[in-house]
Amino acid sequence: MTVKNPHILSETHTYSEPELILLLKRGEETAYGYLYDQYGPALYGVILHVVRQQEMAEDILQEVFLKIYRNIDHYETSKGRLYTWMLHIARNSAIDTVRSTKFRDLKKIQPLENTVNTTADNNASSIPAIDHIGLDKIISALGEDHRKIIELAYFQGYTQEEVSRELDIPLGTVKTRVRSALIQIRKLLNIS
Amino acid sequence: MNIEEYISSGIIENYVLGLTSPEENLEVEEMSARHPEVARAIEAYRHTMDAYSSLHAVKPPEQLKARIIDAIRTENSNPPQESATLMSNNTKENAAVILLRKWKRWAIAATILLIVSLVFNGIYIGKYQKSRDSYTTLLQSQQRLAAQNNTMEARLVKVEKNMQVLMNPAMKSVVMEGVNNHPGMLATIYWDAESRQTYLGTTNLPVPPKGMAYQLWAIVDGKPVDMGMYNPADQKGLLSMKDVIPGKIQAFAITLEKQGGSPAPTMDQMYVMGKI
Repeated sequence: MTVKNPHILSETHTYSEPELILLLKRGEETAYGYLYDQYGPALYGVILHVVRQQEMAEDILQEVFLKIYRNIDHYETSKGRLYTWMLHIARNSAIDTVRSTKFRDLKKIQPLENTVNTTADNNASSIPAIDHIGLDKIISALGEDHRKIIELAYFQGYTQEEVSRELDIPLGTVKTRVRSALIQIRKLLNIS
Repeated sequence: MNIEEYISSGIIENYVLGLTSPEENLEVEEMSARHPEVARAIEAYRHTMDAYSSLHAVKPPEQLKARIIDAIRTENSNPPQESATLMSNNTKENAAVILLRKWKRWAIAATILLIVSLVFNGIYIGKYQKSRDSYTTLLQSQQRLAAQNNTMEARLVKVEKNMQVLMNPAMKSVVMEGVNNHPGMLATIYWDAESRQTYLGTTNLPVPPKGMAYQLWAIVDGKPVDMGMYNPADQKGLLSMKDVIPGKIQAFAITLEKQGGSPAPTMDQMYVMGKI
């Protein structure tokens, strides 16, 4: 691939989302570089949070970028923001890996951290953190019940029934607790 | 349920977290398309979860960017089969919904095809029955013609055989004429002077009375010799008779005898005779 606009290589250059999408659809290498710089840490953080293993998270992030590259033509602006779409790909790729038999076999040999561990434990590992102070604050304010249900549903891809079984609460309670958890997160993040 | 109640029912939050069933997903998407308030509520929660996810951001290892850009570059120069990757970024639920939609489309298409097929079946059954009838007619006609052809062939063989007999240079003939009170009656006899095979040609003798039959005789060395029985009703062309015994043939004659023939001719019942 040839660089068509050398000036956009500059770190300070920013794109509007429609501009970026257009360049991604054209297969511009620089656009993918920009995408990585902008969203790489967020996507990598989510993947790492799901699989909890650095090497595997790196492989998955690469796979996610290839999936973005392959499927960008199918992405429609009307269906939501680019970041939401990429996050969806990243989360599902990571969850699929965790749920694959290969990963389970690996887990038997080399036990990974329990999924209900707080992210504070991650800071103790060699993985560099960016904004865990903010996350810790939110999590402690969120409460254990809400944090757990978000963890299982959003980061581990559990179904309603699986959440109900794991937390030993009725299906109806799962539904209402999901709602109150999201309302509280919105409040804590102060998103209007 | 009004829209406010629907939005606050909890289904939106569960949908955004991927906890709803494929059927519920369809319902939410339909509501979202019809009611902007629902679409806004979904978007707001997605934004919330995007922001919550961002809090987990971790700086990837330094070398990873180069590796990933390299992988994209490699793929860019060798595009893989596209179909395999299309489904991979959909959630299991989305895949199920897409499958359901596809299935519905196929079901409609299949139903239309079935109806069209049934209509054509009706038309073709009619055509088939007509064709079958004309085929049966043709088959019968063909069988009739074949039978006729066989008969003709048999007759031709017989005529050819007769021709061979008559065209044999050794073949001799004598016309037997009516005698006594049978004037005008005629019969022709053919015999091979070498093999002594004998044939009776067509005659104009009347049908014999009941219980009676004609008998052919040869006079050899002054004695009458039985040459076989003759029924004008059976005759079609040359009729092969007994061979003439050795000796000098002086005459042939036909007499009327009782059924089954007689050892010696009844002289007063002689119909025709031909001297050689």
